[in-house]
Amino acid sequence: MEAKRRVNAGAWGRESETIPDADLLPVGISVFCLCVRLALRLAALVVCCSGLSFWLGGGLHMGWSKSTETRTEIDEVTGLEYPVTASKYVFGAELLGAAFAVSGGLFGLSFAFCKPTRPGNRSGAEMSLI
Amino acid sequence: MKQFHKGKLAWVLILSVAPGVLSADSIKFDFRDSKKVNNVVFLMDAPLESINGTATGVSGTVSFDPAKPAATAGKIVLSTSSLHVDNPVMKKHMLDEGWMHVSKFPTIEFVAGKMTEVKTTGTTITGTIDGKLTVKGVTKKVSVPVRLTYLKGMLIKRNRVPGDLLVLRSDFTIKRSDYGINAGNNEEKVSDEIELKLRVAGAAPY
Repeated sequence: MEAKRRVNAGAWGRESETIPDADLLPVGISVFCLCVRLALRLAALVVCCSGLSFWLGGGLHMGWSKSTETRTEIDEVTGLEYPVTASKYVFGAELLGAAFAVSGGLFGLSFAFCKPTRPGNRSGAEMSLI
Repeated sequence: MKQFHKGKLAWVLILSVAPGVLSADSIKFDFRDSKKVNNVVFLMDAPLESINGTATGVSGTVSFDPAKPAATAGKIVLSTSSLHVDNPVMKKHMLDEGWMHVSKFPTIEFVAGKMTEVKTTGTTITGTIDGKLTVKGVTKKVSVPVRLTYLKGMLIKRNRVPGDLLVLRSDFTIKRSDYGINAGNNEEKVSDEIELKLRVAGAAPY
């Protein structure tokens, strides 16, 4: 029984490649791929939602992350405005961007664990190359 | 001979007492402020980034005569280690050698020379102070617009000590390239122009 089938892709400059036949993959590998794919996509969702919720919780701060927050108060006698600094971590836009990037990376990586497409499911262009 | 000595003595006395008499009405205000109300706000608006920060390490003294505000003179000192921005990485860079070099240049000083274009409205005096600003060891002549508010007898409300208050407000702009603050570098993120807002009050206890 052949476990692999040779595909001729000469039209695209490639001589040939081998793809595993999905129908003939061991069940264990298929389940493993499915689990990893789901785990990666779930992780991507968690990272994305966490980043977004931290950013929203921090007051949609558009600048860099801050370890202190400065607010202005007014001295009653002199009328002077003066800064009052308090320790507070504010999630910045750069960390939101990083969260989105990590999330996108995890989601993209999850496609590496997809089942190979069956010949019957291939598009016309792909079938013409076989 | 005795008369000569008496005359000489009289002149010595006159000359030694004169400065005190001339400045008798001048009040010396101390700008050291433990409550950290005295502050300087700095703003830098570059194409890619807008940075704003504060500094509260203000000290110095100013002599002010309510009857002769044009004679206002003194010195305001800002401790560079008190410069603050909310982003910790940015603050570290700002205080490091490449930018403010706080360990070598611990203060920024403004020495007020004379006040011109003086206009008095009630307790508020506006004008322009010509002075010398020293930043990072570089001293340059500057003319800054100021607004002084003389609050007679108001120190008791603030510090529970009888005395006067002098409030000084000034907004002006300097260029970091003039003072050698990483001149010519990172101008897309840190603008060359630094907008300064000085908000300080000095106390003169009776």
